[in-house]
Amino acid sequence: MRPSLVAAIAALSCVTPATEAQEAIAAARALTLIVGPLLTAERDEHASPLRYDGAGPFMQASYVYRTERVALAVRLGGAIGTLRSAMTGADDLPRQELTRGWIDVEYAHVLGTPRARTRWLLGGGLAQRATLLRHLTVPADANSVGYALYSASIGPLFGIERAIGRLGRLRAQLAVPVLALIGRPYGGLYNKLTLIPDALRLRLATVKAFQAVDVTAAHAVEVGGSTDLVLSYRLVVERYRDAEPFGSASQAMSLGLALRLGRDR
Amino acid sequence: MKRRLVVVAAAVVVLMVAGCTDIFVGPDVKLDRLGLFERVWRDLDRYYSLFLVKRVSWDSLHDVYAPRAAQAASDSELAFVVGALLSELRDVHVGLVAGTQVYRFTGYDTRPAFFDPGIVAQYVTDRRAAPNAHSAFGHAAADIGYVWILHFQGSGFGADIDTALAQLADVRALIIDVRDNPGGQAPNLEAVAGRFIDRDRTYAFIRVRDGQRPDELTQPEPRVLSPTGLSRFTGPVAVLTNRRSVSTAEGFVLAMRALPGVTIVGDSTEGGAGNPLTRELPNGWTYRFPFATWYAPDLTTFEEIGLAPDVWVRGSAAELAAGRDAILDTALAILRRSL
Repeated sequence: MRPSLVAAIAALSCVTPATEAQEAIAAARALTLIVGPLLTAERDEHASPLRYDGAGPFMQASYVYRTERVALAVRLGGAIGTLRSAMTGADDLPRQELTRGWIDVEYAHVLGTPRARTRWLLGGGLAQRATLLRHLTVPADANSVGYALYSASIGPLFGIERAIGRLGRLRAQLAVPVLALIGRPYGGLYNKLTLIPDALRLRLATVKAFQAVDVTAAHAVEVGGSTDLVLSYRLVVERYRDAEPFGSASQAMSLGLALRLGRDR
Repeated sequence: MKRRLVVVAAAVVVLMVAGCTDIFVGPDVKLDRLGLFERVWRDLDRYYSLFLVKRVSWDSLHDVYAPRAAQAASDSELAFVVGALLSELRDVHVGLVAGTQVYRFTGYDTRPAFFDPGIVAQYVTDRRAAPNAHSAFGHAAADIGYVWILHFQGSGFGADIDTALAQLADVRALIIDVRDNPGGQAPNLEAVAGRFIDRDRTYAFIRVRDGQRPDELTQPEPRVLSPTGLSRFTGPVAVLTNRRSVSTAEGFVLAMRALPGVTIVGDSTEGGAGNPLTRELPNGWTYRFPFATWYAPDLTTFEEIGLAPDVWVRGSAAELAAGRDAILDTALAILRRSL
């Protein structure tokens, strides 16, 4: 197993006891909005052999529907950020302007007793992610080219939920895609985006070529009649083996509110 | 409950601060000298857009230079080898920056270009800089304006040309001088040329490398010039060129050539049709090469050839010594005839 995967699972084991996923699990239906900082480190060898890292804000909206037996979640999020390499030093360039977006659709089934204090979930998810890196180099007015990685992946997910006290919930979740469609478009002539047709072609990738781990953990606390305060953490690691490999890891800490719709727990 | 929340928050913060994202991506890769050479060679092999024009055997050049890279005793020697490899392409847009060492093809024509801004100043006695200092303007004659565009790098070109045209509202004809102009960014040439155009016109095409084989290029994508700016100059225009007008300056010539009432005067441009991108090596060096190529509206290339003027004038050292600018003199004569 790859060291990064081992580390990801280790990270999951660290956060599982203390945190939960990003939606309030207390409601039958809930709308959640979270915001926070996103730390990203990436190496897209299509753009550069150097590692770039940095931070930026992200926002995510999600809708969760759950019954005693199943949970369905749809998440829509986006982030921006400015990444720099160790080579950049005190200079402004080179740097990468990061734009990332994602749509996750997840379905999970409760294992065992639905009303247990601790619930185990098993399901699957479809994750669509797009990462665009606008690579800016010296000199400042040099042609800047954007490099992207698009992935649509499916795979199993595992989760655990636990009620904490009268008003709180913890949830942790691990999703590991096993099959993905990958696209690596790039292009750009100065500020006019020119996409290269060859790079638009999608490629099917198994875990041999595309490996990813998505760990989410969150703690939701009821703060009002139908509102929860949600504190969450998410780690996403992606690697794509190609002639020009792509590797990315991002972690996000966020705070948000979940509005419970319809009947309460 | 509050205590739990604090504990959870603290755990998350610790995770974030630990910056464990770097662990998953790993440190910057170290490549030996041959590895650095191979990366440059492979990058151009995959993305360079002008192999068909250059007609070099890139594979053979690999066989020649790779052993030298492997035997390089220092980074400086490696830089020399990589620089020598790149110079085989004879491309003004190809180069290597290795610390303080810079390897760049010196150009297709190293003869003097016979352009002296000091001599021009004797014609344009009221010459002054535009607000963003990318250009200077004045009167070359009572009713003939003169705009000297030094380069196309940076921003503010639209404001500069608007200022020049406003200040030269009393002229009936205009000279735009792009001699010795090293180029810059395409949007800047369009910002200037857009002040002279009457309607949308396709002035060039671009093709991008699009596959493993050197002949795999995208379909020609038109570069369209549109009217822009506060005002439009409709009088006759002469554009001055020489063998140091290169890259985006040549794009400007293509754009102006597409307009009626424009005469290109001077020597052929240099012939740098590539559109470069800059790449990095793990050791901090950078290199650049074209991944896209500009073409004239008839889809012919001007790489290494340049764009021929409508009226060819080369100038000479003797004329400059006598305080005369032959290209400017010719442009003035042409414009006076057209008024």
